[in-house]
Amino acid sequence: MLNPADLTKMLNQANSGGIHTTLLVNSQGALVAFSGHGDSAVRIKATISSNIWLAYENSRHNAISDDGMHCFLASCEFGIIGVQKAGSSGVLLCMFADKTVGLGILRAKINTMATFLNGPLANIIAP
Amino acid sequence: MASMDPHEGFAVGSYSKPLYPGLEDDSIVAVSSGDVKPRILIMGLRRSGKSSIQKVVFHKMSPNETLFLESTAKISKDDVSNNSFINFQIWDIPGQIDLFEPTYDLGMILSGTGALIFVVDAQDDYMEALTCLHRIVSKAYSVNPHIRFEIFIHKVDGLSDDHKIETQRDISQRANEELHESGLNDLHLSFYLTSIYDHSIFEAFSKVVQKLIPQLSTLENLLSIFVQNSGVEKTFLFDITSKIYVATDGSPVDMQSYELCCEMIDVMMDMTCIYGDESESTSEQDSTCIIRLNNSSILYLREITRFLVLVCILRDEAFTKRGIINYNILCLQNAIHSVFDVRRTAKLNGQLPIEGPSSLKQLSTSAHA
Ligand SMILES: Nc1nc2c(ncn2[C@@H]2O[C@H](COP(=O)(O)OP(=O)(O)OP(=O)(O)O)[C@@H](O)[C@H]2O)c(=O)[nH]1
Ligand SMILES: [Mg+2]
Repeated sequence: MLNPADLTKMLNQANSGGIHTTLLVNSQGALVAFSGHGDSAVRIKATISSNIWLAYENSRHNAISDDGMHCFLASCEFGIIGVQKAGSSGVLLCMFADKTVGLGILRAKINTMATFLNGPLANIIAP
Repeated sequence: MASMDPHEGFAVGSYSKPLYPGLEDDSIVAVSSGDVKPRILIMGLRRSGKSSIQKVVFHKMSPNETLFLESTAKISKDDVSNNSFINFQIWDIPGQIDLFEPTYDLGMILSGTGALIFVVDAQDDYMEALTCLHRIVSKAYSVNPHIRFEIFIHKVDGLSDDHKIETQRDISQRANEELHESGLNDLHLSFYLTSIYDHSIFEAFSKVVQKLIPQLSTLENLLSIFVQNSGVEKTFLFDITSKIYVATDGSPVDMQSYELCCEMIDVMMDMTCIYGDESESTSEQDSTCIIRLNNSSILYLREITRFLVLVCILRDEAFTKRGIINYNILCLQNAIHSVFDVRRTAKLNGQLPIEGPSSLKQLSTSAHA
């Protein structure tokens, strides 16, 4: 069983050192779990992240090798964002950080978190 | 279907625009520039169904209860704006009074009138009604040529489909001929077949009201853009309390989808009455309602302002992109707010607004999201 309270606590552990929001979003762009502070636009962030992921995923056959996309990092106007698949059901883990955070540390964190979540999230069945 | 255009650079973080607070006074329907609320007059012969129409559309009376309505004795003025987006007065002019008597200030009444609804009882002999119609319309036109004339051919629930069309043709022909004879060629009459026992009265009233909303074309544009980019088949912007649709997208309206949406709003309102939180009703809410039909269509309702809800009809497949649809609704919501903000600020400055494409631009960013 997945305990929503624990899940949020878990996500919250990543929120340090410039990373301010960590969330899980399903393949339909809906927010699954969220931890972060000070920003109301999480749903929008979730939607956009999942949509970018899907856009790449849909065209990966001509761009990326067959084993699919592992992670993407984007550096935006006001911060950086990392997205990686967690579990087998298409749930995505997204992290949002300040501009000051290095892409490497974001990648390391998101990788660690995703690996950890792979276990518990395997229980979720894709819709 | 909304798809992402890779050339549209995303700036995540810049999307966190604040939500607008609930529009407290959507005072939008202002036909005359003064402070008086524009009027809609409902006229017609005795027992033609005027009070019934008003009660059913704006006071949630069930059609059967109208059987017990007494004949109205004096003009009743109904202000529907306090709990509705639609901001005007509805005057029910009883059939038994003669407006041409000098006791009534006809000039005053007509000059502030946006629309005149004339109700003709289709189950009765309508010759007398036509005479009365002609008299009123020609007088009203001479006082205020800007009034829109809407003829409700009412109580058509007792008529067969063929009979309905025949009646409408006959009435419109006779009415127009008479106008023609008296030289009123510029005067335009619109005809509607209505009955309080189905949704036709709501639809007809929607059309009447839409003509009085100056922002209509902007709203329709916004909704069309929304529909194109969200994979939605049809969408309506509803006034919750009256179930009048204020605007819809460009595609043709079919009665069935309109009825479905009306019924959905009924269901939602009933649920809200039972389980809703009274104290919260004045604050900004984020009501959502989803109904899945067994023909793999989905009805999706979202609150836009305190008085307005957006109802979308879409296919199951399109709903897998719910995140995008929600995002587009948010853009639409902001755009609608700014459309009415233009009006409000203009009102403060005492000038008429130019309804600009600024709000459209805002939405078109969502087109690529
Ligand atoms: N069958 C049918 N009956 C209707 C309809 N609308 C109204 N009626 C009936 O018509 C009768 C008269 O309705 P009212 O609303 O009182 O008529 P009114 O125009 O207000 O009459 P006055 O106040 O005398 O001018 C009522 O018994 C209603 O039930 C309709 O759409 N179909
Ligand atoms: Mg009456």
